[in-house]
Order: sequence, then structure tokens, then C-alpha cells
Amino acid sequence: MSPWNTIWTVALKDWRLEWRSRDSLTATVFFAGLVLLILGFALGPSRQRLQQAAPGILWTALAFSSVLAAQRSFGSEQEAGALEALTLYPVAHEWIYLGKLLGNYGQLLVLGALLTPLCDLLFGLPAGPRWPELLLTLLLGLLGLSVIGCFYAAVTTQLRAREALLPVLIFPVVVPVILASVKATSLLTTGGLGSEVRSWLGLLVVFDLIYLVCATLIFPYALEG
Amino acid sequence: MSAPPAAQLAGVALRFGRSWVLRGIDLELRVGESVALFGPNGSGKSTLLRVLAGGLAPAKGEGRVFGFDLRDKLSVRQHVHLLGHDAGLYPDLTAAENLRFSLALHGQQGEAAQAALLSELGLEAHLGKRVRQLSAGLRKRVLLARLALVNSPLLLIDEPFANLDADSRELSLEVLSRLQRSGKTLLISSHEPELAEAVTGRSLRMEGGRLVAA
Amino acid sequence: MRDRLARPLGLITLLCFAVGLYFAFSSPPDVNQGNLIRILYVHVPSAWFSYVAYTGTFVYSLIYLLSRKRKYDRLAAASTEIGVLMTVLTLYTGSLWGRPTWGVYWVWDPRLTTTALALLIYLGYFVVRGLIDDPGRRGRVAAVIAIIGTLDIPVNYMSVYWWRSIHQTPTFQLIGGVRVSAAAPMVEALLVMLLAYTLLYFYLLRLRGRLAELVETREERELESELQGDLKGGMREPQ
Repeated sequence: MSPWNTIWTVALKDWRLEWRSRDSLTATVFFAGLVLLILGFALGPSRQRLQQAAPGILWTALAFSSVLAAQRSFGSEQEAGALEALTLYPVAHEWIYLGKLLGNYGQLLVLGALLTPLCDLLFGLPAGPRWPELLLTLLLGLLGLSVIGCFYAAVTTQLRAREALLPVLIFPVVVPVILASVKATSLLTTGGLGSEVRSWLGLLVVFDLIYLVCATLIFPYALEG
Repeated sequence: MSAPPAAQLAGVALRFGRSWVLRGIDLELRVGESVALFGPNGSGKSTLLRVLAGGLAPAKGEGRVFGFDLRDKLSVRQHVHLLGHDAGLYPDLTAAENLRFSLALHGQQGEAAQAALLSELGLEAHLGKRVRQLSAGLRKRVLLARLALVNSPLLLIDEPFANLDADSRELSLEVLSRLQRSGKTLLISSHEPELAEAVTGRSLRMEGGRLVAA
Repeated sequence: MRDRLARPLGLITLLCFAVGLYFAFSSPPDVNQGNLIRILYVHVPSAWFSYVAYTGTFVYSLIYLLSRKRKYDRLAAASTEIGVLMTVLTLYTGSLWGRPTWGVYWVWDPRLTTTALALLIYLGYFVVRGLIDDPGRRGRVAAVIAIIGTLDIPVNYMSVYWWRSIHQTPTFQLIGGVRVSAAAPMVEALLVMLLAYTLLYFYLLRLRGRLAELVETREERELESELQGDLKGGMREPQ
């Protein structure tokens, strides 16, 4: 079976499951919405201050809920008793990881697509004609969160106390993603310099590439019995 | 040169944390034979099956599956299918989707050949239903269908008769003996000797992580 | 199997510390910072120690994954352990130094922030190690976490550096050529201290690695004798 087929089969399975149950999406969207509200209360009600903080609020919500989504991605396998079966198929584990990653990334994109307009509505994210760059920021930033999230979620699925452990492992590592995404988003919504935006997006590209390659290569070691 | 045996273990030992679960297993399965594995719960049956499936690496000892070293996990996994008691059907996929997913990851497509088998198992009417809505017996049949459809030559079956009603037991026995006739190698673990013996030629007994005389 | 190298290494380390500390206390006070500058002689070397240790963790973890020799897992864990200890000391001395010079204990400086993040990454490493009983699996998962985590340190540094930088220019430029911006006796003191800490790293690594080896050998022996006794059918299995 070709790698691409494996990746696609696994991702498609995850999307179909998610579409049927909407477990993980409902949970993450609600959670992210709550984070928006809480940060709104904590920083508001000054409209100006909220608008200034909006990029930070958006990415805080996305980062927190991405941990939840990553956990669900492997938690659902575990609950179905399918994690073992998944590791025993005659396909390389690298492709299994990329399949799970693609599935998770798809979900995060949906989450981002729902959350960004909501954040714009509540606090104001005036990207105006620069929305394609904002979209690119979302695509790259969420990919970074997904790559790291899925990797650690897979590593910790079989451990005790994994719910508490996962954020501890993920957050120190995704700091560059969060910094770059927040900076790029805030430059885009406040009319910042194009060159600065590009260098932050460059950082995201570098991060995504390094970790996509390294996590994929190293994943089989984490999973084997 | 004769073909290598389906599975061969020499001095395989494995531990979880600080306790040995397998304590030196020597085992040979010839191609086409079917063997029953008995023993009380916690005697290491499931662990042994997982070692043979390429899921757990032994701490000591050597093993081969169809001539492939157990360390060559991808090759081993290409020749083995494990039906665990934690069976791994996704509750929100339909029976058909579950089957298609497993077969796809085994690199198999082809649905036409399945029709006869599925009707024999009485599954056609249920293929479009989500696994969540199926009874335990029907779920077992889905797993049996998967077992019969996967083209791995060595099948490892963990507790196929646990928690089954009489009809499903009958069906399980039928499917297993048919698989045996079709030339597959079977290793079936169970704690109910009479049932497993009905389909197997030879039986082994495990106790405390060792194979003992049956 | 005594470690013959440990004692001489320990003595040389001690000697280096004596010389280094002598220089550190006898060197003239700084033009701007006065005696405060003396914190530098422990702060910079302990930061250096941390990063040497994390590089060690990375290398040993990689070798462990490729070779599966238990020794490298022990060394990786030992290296991380002493690295974490020095990171804590770095942050502590750093904030002691920061309070009088910057007026606060903490600033969002790239090196400070990166070091704090490294501390979190490697604390996570130990939490995971503590949760897995099986030595093989523990070694593998830990190595994987160490590799991914260590890769993150330079990226973290770059990102925080861009994000905000108010730290004074590095005394020794870590990225790019070596540029010395301090008076000669101060440089001398710092260099000797750096050497002393580097030696200390190797000394502690050997010691900790050896200790881990002894513990493991004892456990192995118990397990092995249990298995052997069992194979002969002599021993009852423990329940």
C-alpha cells in the first residue's frame, strides 16, 4: 500500500468518525469559546484594549483547544480498543502518524475557521485586504500546533495521568508557534510592516518543516512495543 | 530447502516493569497447522500472541515468523493478523466501513469476493449499521468476517469464544475450521479447552509465563 | 569494575574551581556593576553547563535509539538530571543578578526565557520517565522526548530573541564569532570557571551514570536470578 493511501485512509477514517459523533469538535469549539469569554472578562471591557489583545486571545484559545483535540485524536483510538490494531497493520508507523496528523489538522482548521470570525466579532481583528496573509498565518500556526500535539498525544496515550501531562509537554515546545502566530496576526490587524509579517511567517515555516520531518522520523520509536 | 515454519520462538522472555510475563518460551508452528493455547488468565497467552504479531519485542530470545526475524517488524506484520479481545472496531463507523478500513490497511480491496462469506455470517443486513448499534454477537461476526477476509497466512486469535451466545459460538467454530482447511496457520488462545480443541490439532498449555505439558 | 578515571577527574575539577574562584574574587570590580559582576563567574558557567548537559542528553538519546544499549539511556538521564540542577541554579543566580542591575527579578529576555522553557521541557522528561516502569519502553519514550525537546531550544531562542531582547550583549557571542568585551583579568576568571564547570559536568555525569548502572545491575541480577531459577523449575513465581 502506498504511503499516501495509508495517510489518506487513516485521515478519512478520523474525519468520518468525527463527522458522525462530533465529540471532539463540539468539545474543542465550546472550550475555545469559553476561553474567549474568560479572556474577554479578564481584559475588558475597554473595546480598544480588547482589540489590542485580540490576536493573543485568539491564539490562546486555539493553543488550549488544540491540546484537547490532540488528546481526543488518540484517546478515541484507545477507547475503541483500536490503538493496538492500528499499530499492527502492515504499514510503516510513519504513515500512520501522518494520517493521524492530517486528521487532526483538518479538525483544527475547522476550529480556526469558526473561531477567527467569532474573535473578530467579539473583539475585532480587522485584517481587511490582508486576509490572505491572515489565512496563511492560521494554516501555518495550526499546522505547528497539530504536529507537536499529535506527536505528544501518541507518546502519552498509554501513560497514567496523561490528561494532566500532555499540556506540560506540549506548551514549552510550541512557544515559537504561539509567538510567531500572535505577532503575525497582530501585525496584520494593526497595519504592521509586510517584511516583519514575512519574517514571522518564515519562522513558522521553518518550525513546521523541522518538526514535521523530525516527528515523522522519530514517531515509530515512540510507538513500538 | 524446505519452507520456514510459520512461527518459531526460542527462549523468548519478556517482562513488564519488574515482573516477567514470558519466562523462556520455545515454540514452533508448522505452516498450515492449528494450535490451541490454554491457560488461566494472566498466564501470558495474550502477551505471547502480541510478541508473535510483532507488537511487543522480547527482552531475550529469538523468534521468526515465516523466516522473518521478529525485529523486522514490518515483514512480520505483513504475515500475521491478530484478533485481540480488545477488538478495535470503531463504534461510529458502520460494519462495512470498519471492514473496508482494516482491509485497506492490509493493502486489500475487492468487495465481490466477500459477499458469500458475509451472507453466511448473516451480516448483509447489518453492514450499513454503525457498530455502536450492533449486539455483541454481531460485532463478533464482523470481527470473524475481518479475520476470514484478511489474507495474512498466520492468524492469532485471542479468546474467540469469550462472552458469546450459542449461535455465535457455532459460527465462530465454523469460520475457524474453514480457515484451517483453507491452509492458514492458526494459534487460538482460550480458557475453554473443549471449544478450542474442536478446531485445532494440537494444544499447548501456559502457566506463569511458561509453556507446560498440555 | 571501579571507575579509575573518576577520582583524578574529581581532583582536577576541584583544583580548577579553586583557581577559578581565586581569580573570581581577586579580579577588579566592574566599572559599572562593581562587585555585582562576580555573580557572572558562577552564572555564566552554570548556564554553559546546562547547555553542555542538554547537548549531552540529545547525543546520548540519539545513540540510545540507534544502538539500544542501556548505557546510553542511563547517561542521557544522568546528563538531563545534572542539567536540570544547573538550570535551576542559572535561573536563581540570574534573578539575583537581575534584581540590582535591571531592577526586577525577571525579564522576558530571550536567554532567560529559553532557559526557563528548557527547564520545563526537561522536567516533563522526568515526569514521563517516572510514569513508565519497563526500562526498554522508558528509555525509548524518554529519548524521543529528549530529542524533540532539545531541538526546540534553538528555535525557542530565535523566536524569543525576535520577540524581544533587552539583555546586554552576550559577553561571549554564542552565535557568530567570539568577541571579548570585558577586561583581561575578568576574562581569565571566567574562562577558568567555564573550564571548571565543564570538568564538573563530565565528573558528575560519570558519577551519576555509574550510580544508575549499579542500581540497574542489582535490579537485573534479581530479575535474572528469578528467571533462571524459574527456568530450572526451582523457584515459585512470586505473586
